[in-house]
Amino acid sequence: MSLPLSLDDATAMSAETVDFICVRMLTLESPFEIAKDRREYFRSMLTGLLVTFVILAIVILYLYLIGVVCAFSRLAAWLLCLVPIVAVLVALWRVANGRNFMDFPSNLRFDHSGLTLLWLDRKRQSHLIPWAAIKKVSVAENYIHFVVNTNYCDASWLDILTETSGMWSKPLPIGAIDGRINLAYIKLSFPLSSLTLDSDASKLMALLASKVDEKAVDPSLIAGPDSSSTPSYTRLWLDDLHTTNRVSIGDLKAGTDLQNGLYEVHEVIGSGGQAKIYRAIDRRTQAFVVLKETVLPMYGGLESRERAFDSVKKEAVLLRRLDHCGIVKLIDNFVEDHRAYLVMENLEGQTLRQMVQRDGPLPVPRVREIASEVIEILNYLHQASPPILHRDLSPDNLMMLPSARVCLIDFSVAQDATVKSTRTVVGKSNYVAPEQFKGNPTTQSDLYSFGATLFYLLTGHDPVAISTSLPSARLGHPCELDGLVSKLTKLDPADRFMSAADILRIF
Amino acid sequence: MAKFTEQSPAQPPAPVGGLSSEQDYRSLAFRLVPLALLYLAAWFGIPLYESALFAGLLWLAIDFVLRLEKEKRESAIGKSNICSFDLLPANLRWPIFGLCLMTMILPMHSHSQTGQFLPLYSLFLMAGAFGAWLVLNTRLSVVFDSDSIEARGFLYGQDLLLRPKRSWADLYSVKMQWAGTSHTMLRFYFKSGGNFNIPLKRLSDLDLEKLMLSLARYADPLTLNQDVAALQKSVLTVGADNQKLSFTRFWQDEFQNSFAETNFVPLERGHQLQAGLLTVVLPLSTAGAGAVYLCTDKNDKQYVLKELSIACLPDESAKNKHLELFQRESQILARLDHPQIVKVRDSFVEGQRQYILLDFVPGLTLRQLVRLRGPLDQALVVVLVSQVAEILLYLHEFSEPIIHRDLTPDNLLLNEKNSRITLIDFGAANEVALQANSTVIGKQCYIAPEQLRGAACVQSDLFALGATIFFLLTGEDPEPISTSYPSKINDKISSAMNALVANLTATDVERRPQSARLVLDLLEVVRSAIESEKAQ
Repeated sequence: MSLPLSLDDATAMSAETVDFICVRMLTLESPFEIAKDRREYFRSMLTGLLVTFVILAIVILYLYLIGVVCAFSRLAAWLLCLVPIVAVLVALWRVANGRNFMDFPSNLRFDHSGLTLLWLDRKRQSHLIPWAAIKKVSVAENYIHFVVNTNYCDASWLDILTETSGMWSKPLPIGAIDGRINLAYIKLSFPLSSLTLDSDASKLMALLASKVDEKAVDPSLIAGPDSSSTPSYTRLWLDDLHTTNRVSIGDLKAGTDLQNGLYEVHEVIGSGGQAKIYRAIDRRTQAFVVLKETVLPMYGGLESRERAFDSVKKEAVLLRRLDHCGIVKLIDNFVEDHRAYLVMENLEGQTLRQMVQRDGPLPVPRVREIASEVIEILNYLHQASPPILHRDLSPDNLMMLPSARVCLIDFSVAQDATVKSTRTVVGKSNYVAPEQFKGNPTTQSDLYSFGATLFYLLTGHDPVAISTSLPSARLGHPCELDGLVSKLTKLDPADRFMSAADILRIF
Repeated sequence: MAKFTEQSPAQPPAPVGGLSSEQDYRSLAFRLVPLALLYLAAWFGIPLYESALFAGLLWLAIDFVLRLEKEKRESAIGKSNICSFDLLPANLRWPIFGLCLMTMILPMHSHSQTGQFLPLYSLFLMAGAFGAWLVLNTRLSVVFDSDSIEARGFLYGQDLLLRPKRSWADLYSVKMQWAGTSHTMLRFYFKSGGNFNIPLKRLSDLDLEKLMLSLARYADPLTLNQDVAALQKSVLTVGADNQKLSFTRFWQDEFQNSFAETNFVPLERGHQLQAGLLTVVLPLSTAGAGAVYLCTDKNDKQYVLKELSIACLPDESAKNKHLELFQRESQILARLDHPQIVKVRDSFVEGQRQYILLDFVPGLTLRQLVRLRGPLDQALVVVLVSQVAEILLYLHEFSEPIIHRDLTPDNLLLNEKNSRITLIDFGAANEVALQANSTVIGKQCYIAPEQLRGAACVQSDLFALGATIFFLLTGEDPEPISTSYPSKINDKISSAMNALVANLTATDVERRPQSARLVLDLLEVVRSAIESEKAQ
């Protein structure tokens, strides 16, 4: 399709809330381009002024030349006058005929229908290359290459591309046009650096991976700038950054469909510090799943949203790494309507807190069983390479399954021990170790939280924050696990057990 | 507490429309002057070509001046949404213009008709004319309407691909770019190609505020860069008096924590509350369980709206307890009446969320001040902290002492014109979060140990005061739940001050000064100690 666009079309096109990426192809090296420091700025300003003066001087000298020649011969002077006039007329004729001064497209647009070449500077035109016409897509040396089979699309744009440029010779942003002998296959390349937003690169990768035929996608595309664990999940992280408004502003109601009907929301089952938990049905398997929804901030600039998105993604990546029967499994993840969702397996049962609230404090043998399971999970986390700190262990995050197994369900503030987080996180204040408050959590902090959790299970009351807890003092009668709990909740991390493995030996 | 009601308009409504007919005639008269001069010139025998050039330039100059006047008039009323700036310093414009005219006149003077086709002096004529015309085009302006952005000015044309008027939906991203501190530029990119930039230093304060307000109202928030969003927030909260802010990146840190993932959807700009009485202008921070918004009432008076989401709690009993706490808190706040505590105008529950409406107080928070200026001088710290201690005194001397619980440098606003401190937050959010025992994000450097254990008392506020003094003196946050010694970081701090801070931040409640009144006396002692040390 090659339609000349009117001005309204151009603006209408950009006003659509269709998901697309618009790439600026022209690199106008104007002297007023942004410079890195003041000296460069002034230098470019001066260059600009110099260029202007030089042009002016040439014009003036030309006029003077006419004046001088005029003294000798009127006719010669008139001829000299005609030269610029003719030049202007030729230029106007070319403009009128639709020939661009810039023969290469000013923008590229990627959307659901295909790749569109746009000439948006003077003559407004566009040519669509549908996805089916793309024979191969690959990435090499920060250039992305398309091989287009022109038998599958209207190739009138080829006449424009293959012609040499007009009066001015411009730098060619689209390189290599191969296969001139066999015009059926044309190769287009453009640099990835021409994308104005950094997030567009990963978005483009994901779009191509999903839209282009499987056979046409080169492996180099998948291992592009944004790599989650497997290609299918790369597709699913296609973040709908450019839809302007949120569709809904409240909680999801029962019966809401997500991901085009893949999931149907049933009910809200709780909420934590940064996420809301829903129960939903996965229509493919007809099984219940748990959706953890995090609302991404739209204000505070693009980077805030990306940062929030990154932290949800981090949780997903972490959960995917882990494989233990005591840790909840992550099934899927997606973004919809500026909310990030983690789809986790549905666990029937209740949190330890709900259990104690309902049945009262647990007897010591029961607590021992639970403790041994939890410490096994902790050991698994701490033994991972690099070790993972959970940072938010508490009775609300541990679930008791009907099979009498315990499962750890919330990893939103967990992180690798080696990563230095810029945002200090303090979990539930009663369960947090003193050094974690100060911003230096270690594996020992998880042990403190573990001890505090045991205290809760034994007594039914939250422990006092940042203090060594003795269950017997609360209960009023001696307790076998006194020594264990008090050693775990010592204020100085060195006084506690060395690692989860040590405690495991006790059980 | 008086329910928030519509206040009667403070001033008569602004006049509608542009110029009055009287001013129309005046501008017409001015525009006829060049034509009159042209006629006169012809009468005196000056050749048509030159006089036409002159008349044309004069006409352009008069048009320019009239346009400038119109802009000034409209922005004084507040009707205009034009942001203009000059590429040349404004006081150079007319001298350069005059110079160019001289370049045109002087050679003419020495030559009379020579019968040449194009005499040499005409080169000067053209150069001068071009220069004069260029000078008149160095004033660029951008018009922000509710449905479009228009960049006016010849020098913008090329970059905008000759389409100066664009719709808001065409805006792709707005970025801030630096070329040295005095050449910060705001660059607007458009989806359908083209871009333009505005040098921020050249905008007047009023125009900067207009620009930021238009962006807040009409632009898609995701098109803004983080730097632009931070600048927007600071312009709209600190005020138009921005000469001291040098558009550097120092807003980064606290801005990063202000907008984080949440479990509720924050209100959008333009959202109306209380049946249209309040309109949200911009979210100032959305993190965790609550959000803070800038909003306006029907008369465009600004307020700050604090929001807490009830729905973030796990079950019904917790929700009811929450509501009860909120009611109690608002009753207490209603009784407060102190010139240095921000007034609470209203509190209400709407749409499963609780709101507190506060007066809008422009100014820098103490944290922003320290970020901007570096650690403060001891004498200034004493002055500021005395004010805070007096505020605490007022709060503690109620029959049932009101413990603030969340005194931090972010909650104290400084009005630089009169050096007055205002307390702008009551930490209701923090208290609720601590009570609900949910995950809290952020370093808790200012909370006293016993407050964490649930036994907050008057001395907990004094702990926070000590921690705040530490921050003001050193520019760093103190270590949480431990005693801080500012002299360890900066040894120029007097020992009296160091001792005061150490006593205030003692982890044991008994060892701290027991009342705000005592703290005020101790501050006096410190002040005299500093003065005597200076005299030595």
